[in-house]
Parts: sequence; structure tokens; C-alpha cells
Amino acid sequence: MTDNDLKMFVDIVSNYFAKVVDEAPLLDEPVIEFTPPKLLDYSGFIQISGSDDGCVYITMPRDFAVSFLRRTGEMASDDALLSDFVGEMASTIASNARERFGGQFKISVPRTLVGGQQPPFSVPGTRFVLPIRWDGRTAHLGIGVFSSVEAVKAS
Amino acid sequence: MKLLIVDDSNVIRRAIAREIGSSRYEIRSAGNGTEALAVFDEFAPEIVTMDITMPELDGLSCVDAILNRRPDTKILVISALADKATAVEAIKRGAQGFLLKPFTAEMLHTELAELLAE
Repeated sequence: MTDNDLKMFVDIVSNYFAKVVDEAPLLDEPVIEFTPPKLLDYSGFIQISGSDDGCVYITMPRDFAVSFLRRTGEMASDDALLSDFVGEMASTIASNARERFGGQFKISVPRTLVGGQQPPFSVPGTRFVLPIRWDGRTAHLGIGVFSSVEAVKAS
Repeated sequence: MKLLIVDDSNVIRRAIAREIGSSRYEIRSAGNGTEALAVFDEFAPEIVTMDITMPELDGLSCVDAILNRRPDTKILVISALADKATAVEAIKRGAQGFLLKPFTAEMLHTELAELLAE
């Protein structure tokens, strides 16, 4: 993961908010996380395979998700819809990254978690975490993506 | 005019339906390709908005199946897959439009208007 790769994810998140809620978020500097992911109320994971390995995820508190959806005109706020929303956001961000990584950057369908539970699947032990501040609340984008060559060397 | 929205995300299905409204279109939706073909056969829509990455039957395979059934169906592929090859493949298979997620309401209206003008 290069600085340019990280900048691309920053740009993708900014573009997502600009298009969907017409308002830019405040993005803090990404930090490196070595511990298990700190998951909030709703989390959406995308597994990456092909030319790269790992995962991209977004995790957010309930009020972030509800507020975001309200801004789009969605008034429902049940668990199923909020889970679907974080899964879709994670999927869109990961899929947009194909512009840089190419068609062999394979994207899974989203897997969602509710209530901050740890994922029942493996997550790279080292990840970049990008804090996303918006509307007085904070979500986190986790990026644990390595080229397949790097992933084999690490294992 | 009948419009079928195909996307595995309920949030996206609801957002598209909310945005284009029911005054101009009679709208049905489906959450995957297999369900989409069943609804297509029964509902016979003139327009389909089609996601690509879905469980069971992906969107590009679904485009093939729909155009085999009724070649004059207008299909707008709506996907977050940002590589050019995906858009080219969708058009090659017979989709008339490609809209990249995330999109604004204005972008959706523009694409649908262009689709109908063809």
C-alpha cells in the first residue's frame, strides 16, 4: 500500500460523500492498526482477492448511519437497512478502487456485522484506518490490502 | 412505463425508486439476478437498471439473459466497478448506458433521459 494508494482511498471517500449527501467529510490522517479491528455498531466488510489480498471495511455508530441515510431521504432505520447501507458503502468504496488497481482486483459481496462483534473470518493483522468525521460523528474506513506477492511473503 | 430495479442493496433499490418516483414509472425491484429474471418474465418492463456484483447470478449474465428474452429492453448498468473494462463489457453485451456509483440524482435522471431518447 503506497501513499498514492491511500490518497486514492481518501479521494474515493470524499467523492462518495460529495455525490450522496453533497457534503465533504473531514478526513483525519490514516493510522496503522496492529490490533483486532475496533468495530462500532454497524460494519461492512469486502474481501479482496485476485491481484491483491485482504479486506476493506467501514464501521460506524448507529447515529452516523441514521443521519447519513436521512440526508438521502431514507426515513427507515431498522437494523437490516442500516447493515445493508454499510455493506453497500464498503462495496462501493472497494469497487471504485479498481480504477487504480485494475480488473484483477476482485471484490466480494459485502459481509455485515452488527453490534461491534469481531468478524468470524480472517482480517489482515496490519491495516490502515482512516477516520471519517461527518455531522459531528466519526466512522472508520479500514484498509488491509496487500499485493498477492506481498501476502504470500508475509504468510 | 415499466421499470425494473435490480440491485442486491435494498438501500440502493429504495433510493433509485424514491428518486425516479412512481408518477412516471411503474416500478418493481429484485435483489439478485435470478429474482430479476423471474420478475422480468412476469412484469415485462421496458427499462431495467442493473447492478453488476450480486450473489447467485451476476448482472452481466443477467443482461445476456434479459436481451435473449427481449432484445429491445433498455438496460442501464449501475455499478461501482470503476475500471473501464467493466463499462466496455456491459455495453458490448447490449446495455445502452453505464452509471458509476456513487451517483447524484441528477446523474440518474440524465442517464434515464438519454436511454429513453435512444
